[in-house]
Amino acid sequence: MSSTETSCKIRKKESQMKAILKRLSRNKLSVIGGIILLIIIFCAIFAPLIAPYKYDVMDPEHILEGPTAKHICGTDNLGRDIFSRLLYGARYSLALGFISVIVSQFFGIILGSVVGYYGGTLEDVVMRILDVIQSIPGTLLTITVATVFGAGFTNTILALAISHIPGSARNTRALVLSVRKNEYLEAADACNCSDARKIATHILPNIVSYMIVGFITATAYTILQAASLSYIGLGVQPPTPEWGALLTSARDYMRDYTYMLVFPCVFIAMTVLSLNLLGDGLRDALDPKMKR
Amino acid sequence: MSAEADTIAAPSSGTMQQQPLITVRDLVKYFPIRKGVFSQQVGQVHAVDGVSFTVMPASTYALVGESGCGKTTTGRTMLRLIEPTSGSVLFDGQDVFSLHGQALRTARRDMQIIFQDPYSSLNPRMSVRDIIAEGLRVHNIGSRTEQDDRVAELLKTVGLAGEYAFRYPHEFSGGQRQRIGIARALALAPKFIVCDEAVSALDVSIQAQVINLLQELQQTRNIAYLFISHDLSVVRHISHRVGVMYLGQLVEEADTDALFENPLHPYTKALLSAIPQIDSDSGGIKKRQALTGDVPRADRPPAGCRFHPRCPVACDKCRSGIIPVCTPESGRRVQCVLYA
Repeated sequence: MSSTETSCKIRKKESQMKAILKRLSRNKLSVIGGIILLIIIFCAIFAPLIAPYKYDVMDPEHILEGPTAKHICGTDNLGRDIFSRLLYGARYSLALGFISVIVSQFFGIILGSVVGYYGGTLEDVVMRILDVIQSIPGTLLTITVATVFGAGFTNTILALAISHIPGSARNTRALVLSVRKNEYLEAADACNCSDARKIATHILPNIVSYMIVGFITATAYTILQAASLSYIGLGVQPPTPEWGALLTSARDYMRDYTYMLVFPCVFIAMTVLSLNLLGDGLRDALDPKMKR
Repeated sequence: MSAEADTIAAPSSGTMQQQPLITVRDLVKYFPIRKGVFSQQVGQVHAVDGVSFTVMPASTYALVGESGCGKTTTGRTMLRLIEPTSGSVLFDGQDVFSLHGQALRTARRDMQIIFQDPYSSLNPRMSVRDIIAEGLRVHNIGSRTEQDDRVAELLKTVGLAGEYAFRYPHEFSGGQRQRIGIARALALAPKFIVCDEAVSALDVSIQAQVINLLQELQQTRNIAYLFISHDLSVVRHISHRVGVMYLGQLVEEADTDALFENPLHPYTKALLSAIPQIDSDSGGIKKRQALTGDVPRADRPPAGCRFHPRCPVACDKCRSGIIPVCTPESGRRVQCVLYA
């Protein structure tokens, strides 16, 4: 009996993971989103192998040329291959998005769950401080922080992460509060569960799906913000081929050489769209009540 | 308050000679009311205000009363799910409120709770097996396989098939979920279970099944229940002794039959007359004594008898001072000037 039970248990664990993937695969749009995202991540990782040119190689004979067989996305004002720059740029844009969201969520989740779980004076003080920070419009706050730290890759990550901590903490707190009032936490108290066990087995599993979805949506938004920061010159600086920076260099030529603007926009839009599609699908797939 | 405590202190169960399993003495719980930016305390809700009673081993003590009268708070405070403001609860001679750490941990094995809402009381992310075995795991009882065997045995006890252990709560109906909740409460083999409106959320036919299950468990496992309910018919069926609560106070306490046949306190009378009756013998419907007005606010309870603003027989003596707890007959206590 015992051996069948344990094997049952192992099978159960696997099948739970499988069930989530199965439910996710049933959602066509999120599968497409996931595939596009994987392709973009693949391109970012293997940019040096895929890209036909290096991102900063100039070709004086082909300046401001539209898409041709040699340069499929055309060349910019210095004769650099835009396709190669986009592939290398994926590294910076994705890294900006993911790293700054990881940093902001890390601090936001710790802050939000501690404050939400223990409450009291600490909660009042922390939440009022976050209120003040959040009363500043998000983009303005990011610009302010970016101005204080100065431009550059690391500073952009810092600016984006800091401006997203309040939102993340607030969301986590709300999620913890919504789970905390459930009677199963009292049942856990009744058998003398420790705080750590309660958080690990009762609270986090019930909010993790929302957090994953929040993480993905936040990444999409952050990639956009990073591009905006670069566009106004506060983010990653040229010649680094970040997508926002590509837009900046296209700005002066967009009337006559529209393709310079179009291709980076397509890449940004595809990434953000695929992240959002994947996020939507995951939200449904992670909900055990959706199991068929 | 202290004068009242002296009158109430002696346990007064006339029928049984046993030592009480639980003695609640002068239990008080005030909840702070907080308002404003920094949550200043602006008042207190007198949820439970000087409640005393005893529960005998393997018997059922029912707490009845309107919503908001403090029944649930009483039950949860007894298990230390809510910290008390003052008072004491003796469980097997041990003061539950003075326990900490390991001692509290051990004591909690003997006291469990069954909740009203079979939906929010089971963690949707845990399988039935993990839910039921949680207590065993927290207390490190048995190996994994022994725990699994125990879960299977408990599921059988509450009338569910063993293979349900790997399912998740949303796959069950309300009645089945309540059975899972009962199995969880039984896992640590407690001597005392608080049934907090344990059957109120269920259909009438399922209610009967769950009540029968609870009674059967009481007989086979010698469990004492604190049965919190507003359903007087169920209370009459299941309980041995009944306490009637109004605005945080125990206004009347008696053995079940005595209370239902001859209610003494005006509030108990009103409460009992609200039970729908099908009575062909008396040839007519018993006159219902409807109460007027609302329950006063629990943050500003009325002076004197808390029931006097709504009491049909209130007199001047009821409006101020301490209302005595009287013992008009053995095994019975009424907090009312009519019986002083």
